Amino acid sequence: MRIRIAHLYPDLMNLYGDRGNIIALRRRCEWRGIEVQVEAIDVGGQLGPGDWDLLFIGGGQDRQQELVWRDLQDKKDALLQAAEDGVVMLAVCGGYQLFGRSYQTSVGEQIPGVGIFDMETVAGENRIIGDAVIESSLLLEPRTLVGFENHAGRTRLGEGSRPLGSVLVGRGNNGRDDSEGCVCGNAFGTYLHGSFLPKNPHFTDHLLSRVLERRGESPALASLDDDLEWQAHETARLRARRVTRRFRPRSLR
Amino acid sequence: MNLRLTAAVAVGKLLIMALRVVGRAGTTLPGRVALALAPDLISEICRAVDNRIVVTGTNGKTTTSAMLDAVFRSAGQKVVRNVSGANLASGVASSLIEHATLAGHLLADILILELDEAAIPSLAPQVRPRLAVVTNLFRDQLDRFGELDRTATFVRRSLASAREVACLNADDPQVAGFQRSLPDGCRPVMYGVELSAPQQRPVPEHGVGVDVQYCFECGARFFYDFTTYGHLGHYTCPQCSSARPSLHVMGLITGGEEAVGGRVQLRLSGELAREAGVTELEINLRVPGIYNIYNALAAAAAAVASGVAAEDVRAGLEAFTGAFGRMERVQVSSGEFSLALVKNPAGFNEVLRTVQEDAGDKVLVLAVNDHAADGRDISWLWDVQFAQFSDSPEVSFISSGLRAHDMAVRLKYAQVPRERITVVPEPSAAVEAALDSSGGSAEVFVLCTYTAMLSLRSELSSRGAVPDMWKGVR
Ligand SMILES: [Zn+2]
Repeated sequence: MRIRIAHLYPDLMNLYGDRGNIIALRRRCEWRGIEVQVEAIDVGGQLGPGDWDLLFIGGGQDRQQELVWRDLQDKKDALLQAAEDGVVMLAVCGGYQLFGRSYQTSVGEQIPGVGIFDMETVAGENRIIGDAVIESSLLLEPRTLVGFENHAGRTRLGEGSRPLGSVLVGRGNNGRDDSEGCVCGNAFGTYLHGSFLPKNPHFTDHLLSRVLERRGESPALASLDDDLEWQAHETARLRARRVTRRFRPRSLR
Repeated sequence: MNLRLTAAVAVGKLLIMALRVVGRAGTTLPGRVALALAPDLISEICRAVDNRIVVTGTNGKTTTSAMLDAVFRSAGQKVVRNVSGANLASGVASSLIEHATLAGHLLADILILELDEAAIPSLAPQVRPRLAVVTNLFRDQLDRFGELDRTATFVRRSLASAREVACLNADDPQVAGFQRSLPDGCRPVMYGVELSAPQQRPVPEHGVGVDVQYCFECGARFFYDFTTYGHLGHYTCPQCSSARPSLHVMGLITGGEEAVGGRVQLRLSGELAREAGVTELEINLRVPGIYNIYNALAAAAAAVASGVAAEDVRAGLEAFTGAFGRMERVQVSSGEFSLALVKNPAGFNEVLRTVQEDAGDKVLVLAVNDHAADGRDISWLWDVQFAQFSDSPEVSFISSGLRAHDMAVRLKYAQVPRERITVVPEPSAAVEAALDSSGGSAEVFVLCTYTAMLSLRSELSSRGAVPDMWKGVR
């Protein structure tokens, strides 16, 4: 059994240790005897249909995202087809924004997105920066997901979109409606990095289970000793509460 | 006499004394109070010394400043410098107050100020340096600085305040580009490294600690003849004419990788060579690592451009044994260890590389905090390379600090066997555990983020093991 992972723009879109997500996916497969193949897809690179089980894109700086969004337009059809085929996707921060319908920059320029997520993002006046804890809408145990958010964009989900979770600590998609991230079929988007997957092992395994299921295998994964991961998860949860209390959304005060 | 200034200096001096009586360093509060009383304090005090040098950049500010200090002192000059790490407005003001007379005069020939990259836009116009040094720009504390491009803009704009010289790292594409936007009358002095046996280091793997790889002019991916440290190296753009500029101060490293222990041949060219009266200078640094070679080049460039004789440059750099918390040897009752500050991926990678040069058994204490001064976002740990330790049974780890478990997870996912990772959250307990487990036969290295280092130092100094912070530096 071999899982094929596409890492989109690993050089351009790797702002907050995003490669940690790839490392987490790889290790958690390898520790279970599942083979993993990770391939980098750069600007100009081909994204053939049916080649991938899982696709990851991280965040980048404005200058780099400029290069990326243009290239994504060339890959748009292939990506939408992959999403339709149920390829598992994780898009973090800047990549998450670009997987929405559009992004409006601080000078009002409208950048088209891939459109996998029904959502729109508008650059805000200031950056949302801090630890974040969300309660996920997925059937995870525990329900919490932890990470760090650092984004200027304010994202609004469309009517039919489902958030990845609701904000317990932090600001999430826009600092107003308590939503964080987006789920659409097997595609997941979030503002959380940190890196995100290593200290959310349940979510990492959730992604891998979806991959197995789509391949027609049993989604059950052998259990691992995640003692360190859960302690890191718990530390992040507690630190977030302590440090970021003043950023809590109005509804939770 | 400016009464407001005198009052502010007097209050500041009293606060410094009072804080020291209670055992605190007093590096920010006195300055903050004095600035509230006399907002122009920094520019007023600076005026007294014409030869003002500022050092900024992501890594190497403190070491470069300390090296410059050593060089000017070996030239017989009296130097005033800000306390290591006190590089925001309040820290700079505190340091100036400490050395100034009540009238606000500095009795010094040279003033050397290390300035934080985010604070420099407001500080540079107040300091109006004769010479500015930019060491490098790496991703660092993104939660505080935002993007690297933003930091670069800060530094580039602040160079408008440099009156005569800007010493720029030519090996850093972003820093080298600043030479195009220097103000009239300010000349660039470019420094960089040349390897006699190029391509000794593999080009870093995808996305690892490399922040700048794409041409700023045309967006094409740079081609590197060699890289030395993160994205620093000899780059050319395959598409347009962008390339590393020619060097005024070249550090030639001969004899391959192992030579990066500290021997460097300095080659000066053009106007600088004429001013210094020599074109070549052999320097044996007593501090290890390629990053210290860059620091030495920066210091040498600034010193030569300030008219220091070549022989004094050599003597000063060779006398230099290390800056505060930069691979400092520390003795405690239960043993001895090396202490180093780590704050971003590029710096951490280079410290690990230096640690690996030591061939024997090692215990590494990695203490990571997430206070504002450390960077609240610890994502950067995932851009540090630990894979080289997966197959090194001679190295064991103790992860520590507020984010000890994140550090441990990072090591685990780098395939370091679980039995070689211990978690001891309290830094001084972690150090004791390391010294215990080493039994004197293994080298102990303690790598800390900023506040983890401060708490470890205060714990150690209460036991008399290290000097108090304010005694340890001038
Ligand atoms: Zn170019």
